[in-house]
Amino acid sequence: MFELKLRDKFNELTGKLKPAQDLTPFATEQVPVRPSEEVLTDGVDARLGSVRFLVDATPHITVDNSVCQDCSTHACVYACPANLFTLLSDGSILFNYEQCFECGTCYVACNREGAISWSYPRGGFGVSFREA
Amino acid sequence: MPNEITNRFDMIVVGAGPAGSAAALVAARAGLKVALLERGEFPGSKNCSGAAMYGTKLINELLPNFWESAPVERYVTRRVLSFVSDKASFSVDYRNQDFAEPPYNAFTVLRPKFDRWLAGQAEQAGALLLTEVVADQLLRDQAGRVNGVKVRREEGELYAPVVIAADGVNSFLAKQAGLQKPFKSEEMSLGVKEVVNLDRETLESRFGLTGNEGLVNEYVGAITGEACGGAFLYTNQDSLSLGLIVQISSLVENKIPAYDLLDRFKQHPSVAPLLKGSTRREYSAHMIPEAGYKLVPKLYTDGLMVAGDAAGLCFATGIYLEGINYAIASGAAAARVAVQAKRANNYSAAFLQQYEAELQNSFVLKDFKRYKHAPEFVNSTRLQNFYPELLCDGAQELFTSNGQPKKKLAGIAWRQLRQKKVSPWQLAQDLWRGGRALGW
Repeated sequence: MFELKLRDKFNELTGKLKPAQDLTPFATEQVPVRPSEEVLTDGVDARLGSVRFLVDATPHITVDNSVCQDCSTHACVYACPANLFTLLSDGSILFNYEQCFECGTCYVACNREGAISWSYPRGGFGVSFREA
Repeated sequence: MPNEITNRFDMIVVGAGPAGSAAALVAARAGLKVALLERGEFPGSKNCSGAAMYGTKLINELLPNFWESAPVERYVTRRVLSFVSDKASFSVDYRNQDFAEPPYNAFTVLRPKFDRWLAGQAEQAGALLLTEVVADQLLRDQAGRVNGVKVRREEGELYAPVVIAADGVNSFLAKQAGLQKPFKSEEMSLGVKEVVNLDRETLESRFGLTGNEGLVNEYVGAITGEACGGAFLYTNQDSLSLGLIVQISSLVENKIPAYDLLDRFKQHPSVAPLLKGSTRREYSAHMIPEAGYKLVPKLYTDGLMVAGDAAGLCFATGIYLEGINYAIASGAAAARVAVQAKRANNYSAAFLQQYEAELQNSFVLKDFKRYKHAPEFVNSTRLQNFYPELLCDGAQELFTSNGQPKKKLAGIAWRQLRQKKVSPWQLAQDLWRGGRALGW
């Protein structure tokens, strides 16, 4: 169903495709500690498990798929450091705001005006770094 | 939320990062009623950089002996610049014990800790710190002058005759004021980073450090593949900060996400042994305004000044990778002008223009102007990929001892250039460009 993304290909090649339970959506203060061998090739999913996100009920970023429909570059898919943009087989973009770093890279990378509506989350919500 | 009495200030600062907190500190000390607004849970919770903090002399002037109370990690005594190919690395390794003496030359810091402390200093000086407050709308008086901000709360209007936009790289306020234009993807970089645990003893012996000495290592070459950028590895007290900074347009052109490049970096033969036994503490990402002087907007308008990353004041020239110092210097300068503006009761653009003039006369904009050609040069394909490889391959030829007659340096350089198909004309061009960017 999903187009095989570069990340998955990479994971497949290195044999490090992570099981689903590693996708900790809302990490608590406790930091998961993993053996060092794994740390070297984690892709993005396990990495996100180390970050604290205070998720608001309403998304702060929305994607207008009517604008994305005939886009061929899919810049957002490669630009997002949290892999939140997924290209579906029908050419539309599936976006998940919950583990967003609020960096702004997606809207800077996107060359389609109006495709990504970007704002900060409500005060106190969103990513909350402890070490960065 | 604020009623008539509490929603009026002498100055409002949006963003409690280094620029904003420095501004609030300076203005509060001068007796201004200052509101310092932060959208995160606490100051620093949205902030992320390497982070090596330079310009300690400047911070020391604002906060004498700050290292005694501030959560700094290590003072930097060792700076390494590594050129890497797929299997090799060629490094310039500099260390100096003069940098181990107060006020030091640079510190490594963890931003959520350091920024929180710095905002605390502004609070102690009398600034009112409001966290979990998003201010993304400017308020204007009838004449169109900025006179406050609207925060996303009920009755969220906060008024002040002068606002300092220290709201970070995305600065919606600078854009709303018409000062900053929309960014292009070749002007901006994405930084991704990990902080990994490494116990003190192992860290110090692995990196040749004693006590609180620290290392800053930057990398250019094969690590970022075809994409333009670089990597870094910094030592903290009992952890390492490592990551990559990559031009956004080149991530898209090469269809490679930054976290995959981060994996590649961590697996590089010159990096992997340094990470042995480490475990991840946190992954993070941030956008970085790396285009230098051409990205610095007009820094003021009626009732508004822009400072720090919001003003594009991130200095990335290949040799230097600095930002916190420029943020603090610009924030402090903006506050000094705000104090004068209050005395003169004049908050017009014509008066606030002094802020930009002050930065032009200080190291801040002098540095950006002097190195204005550097960002483009550093992000050129040949510098990114070809020259690091040339250095590594040349060194391989130089150091290989296999019973063949040895060549001298010029012979090796000539052969490498021919092998890599770089014409003398291209070489001359690059020497000129590099010279113009970094040399004179």
